[in-house]
Amino acid sequence: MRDLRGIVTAVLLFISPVLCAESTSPRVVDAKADRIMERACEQLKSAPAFSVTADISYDDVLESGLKVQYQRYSEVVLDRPNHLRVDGESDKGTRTILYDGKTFTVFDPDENMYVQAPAPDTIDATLDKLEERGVSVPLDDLMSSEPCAWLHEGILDGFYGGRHYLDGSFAHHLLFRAAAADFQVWIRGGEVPVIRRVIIEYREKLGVPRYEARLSDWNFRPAIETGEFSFTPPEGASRIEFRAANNVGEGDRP
Amino acid sequence: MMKQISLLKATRVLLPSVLATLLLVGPVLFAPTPGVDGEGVAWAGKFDRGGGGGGKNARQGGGGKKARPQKSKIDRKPRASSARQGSISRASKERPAARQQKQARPKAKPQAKSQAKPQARAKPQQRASGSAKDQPFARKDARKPQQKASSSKSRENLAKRQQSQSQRDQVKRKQTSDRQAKQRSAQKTDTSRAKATQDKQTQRKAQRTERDKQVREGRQEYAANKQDIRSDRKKAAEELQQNRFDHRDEAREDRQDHRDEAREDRQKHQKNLANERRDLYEDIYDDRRYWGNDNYWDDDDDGHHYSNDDDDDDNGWLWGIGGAVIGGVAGYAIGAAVNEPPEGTVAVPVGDVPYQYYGGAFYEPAPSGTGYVTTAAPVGAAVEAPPIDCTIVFGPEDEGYCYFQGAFFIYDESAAQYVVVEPPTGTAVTYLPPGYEELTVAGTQYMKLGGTYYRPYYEGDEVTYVVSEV
Repeated sequence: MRDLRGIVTAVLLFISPVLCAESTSPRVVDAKADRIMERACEQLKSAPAFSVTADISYDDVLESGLKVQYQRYSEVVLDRPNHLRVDGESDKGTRTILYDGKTFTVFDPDENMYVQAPAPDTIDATLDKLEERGVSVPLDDLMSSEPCAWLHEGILDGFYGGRHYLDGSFAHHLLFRAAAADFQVWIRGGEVPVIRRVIIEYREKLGVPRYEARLSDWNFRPAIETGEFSFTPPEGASRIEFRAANNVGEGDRP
Repeated sequence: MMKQISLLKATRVLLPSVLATLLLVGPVLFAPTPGVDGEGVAWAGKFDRGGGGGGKNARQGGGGKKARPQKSKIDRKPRASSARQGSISRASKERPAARQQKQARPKAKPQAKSQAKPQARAKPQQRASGSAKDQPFARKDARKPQQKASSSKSRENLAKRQQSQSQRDQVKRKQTSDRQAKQRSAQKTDTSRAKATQDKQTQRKAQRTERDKQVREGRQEYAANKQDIRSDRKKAAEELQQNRFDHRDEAREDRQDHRDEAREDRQKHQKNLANERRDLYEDIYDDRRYWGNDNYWDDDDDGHHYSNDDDDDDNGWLWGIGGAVIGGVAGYAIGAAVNEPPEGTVAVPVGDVPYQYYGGAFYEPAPSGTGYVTTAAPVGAAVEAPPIDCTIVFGPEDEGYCYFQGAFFIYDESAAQYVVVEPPTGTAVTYLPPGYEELTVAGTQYMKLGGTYYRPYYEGDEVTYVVSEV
């Protein structure tokens, strides 16, 4: 019995630091930043539908080290649980991404080509599938059912920066830090808190490229037209396939 | 008058200050406004052309798609990497946390309470043996009254009786004396016994005291030993724990170092790659300058001299369509006729054909025998520098090509030249020059450019064209 007690004590002595270490969370987010961010996310989560426009700029770091900033304009219409439309125009062309609950379509009007594939039955899973295919959906985390998941999973610290001037009014300015990136989020308060601006700085990437989105025209009761989420190929449009992942092409090199 | 003097004094004092201020701010005030005059615009133009920014330029071969944009993920991508890298930060923060934890660990338990029981109470001293009630009775007997004598006869009788009495008394006294002696002897025996008992009790008490003392000391010693053992165990556990902390810290540092090294290696590799490519571009650019084509880029506001350059079109390359030759490489249109190639062309014979090469464009003698016609890059042509606007693409074997308007140049190290090769099957390019033919083969769409088939695919959300065999 004494031996057993000794063994138990030794085991406890061994694992207690580990247990204590596990329970010690490194996440340090001040309560106000947490609360404001959560409120904005809650607004997104609880909205059965919304539309928003995003003015986006992002950096490409060329192989020479030069940084180039591109622009993109996106209009997002989301209708939960399984409808999504993103129309985008950017330096790299025009794209429309459609999800009607059964299939998703990526259409390039410039080339008059589209790709279509069966889709899962939720927006989250479809966003994951698009991501797997390399299709970039701007700020897709805002469209997921857990917009603030990142706040609890990857954030190391965060704090409330104050009410700062943004586009003619003041907004809550929140700052977060993850292991590989820093985030700044501006949230307009009030009864319907909305995210107005997001900056992501990938400090671990070469050249520290930055992504910035200004979100406007938030509408939580959007007028959704019939067929808004379904795709009807324009005349002469060609349906093509995704290229297999093992076929390495231009631009896929470091 | 006084006012005039004061004004003069003030002027004398202020004038140097004003002059000094003007000297300081003058260059700033009179500096040309950047970005407004020709210089600023020209720089921007060079940047657009040379840097291969993106968008429409990218499709002109400006290299805008060489580096993919950062994806817009707040939680996904950073989290995917941050979940892994986050553990690095956590690790770096866990170390102090672990130290804190170590410090916060409960200190050594309070000293164990003395295991020694309180000293056993000494038993009350035994009462002195032999109390007053135990004293011998001799005195009591000695106080007995004498009997009185009577008449003469009775005196005799009395005498006899007295004698008899005397004898009896003597006997009695003797008996009494014997009894008293016995009693004294007995008393003496009792006293010695009591004394012996007392001695024994004292001895036992001493023994008990000694034994108690020994037990107490033993217990104290045991307690002390136990404390020592506990301290030793605790110390051993702490050392063990410290070792584990150290080991964990070391392992963490090793992992961190390893990751740092890996990241540095990646960054170094990327930088090396970037340097190599930059060198390549610089070499090409230098070659262009060497060939006297330096003014080419400054001839136009946008630097493009394509025959149908409307700023929204990709280029002026017209496969299989004859067109007017405007000049230089930019006016190069497949099949176009020119009296003579631009100044600065280089002779690049391929087989029996004496091609002329100029900045990516090939000219061959016109079939009519007069002048030249533009042509697609002939396979086998070797040039010292490929077009500056070429895009680096990789073939299925990871070999790098300089792709420009449907032509693939590969560097021949032994000859230090770029050689035009057949489009390598499986290689993806992000644009095709105009002039391709769209056709469907077995239900699949292709673009045919010259004799090469390209199959369009989506890569991510961008359309690419892969050299295919049909």
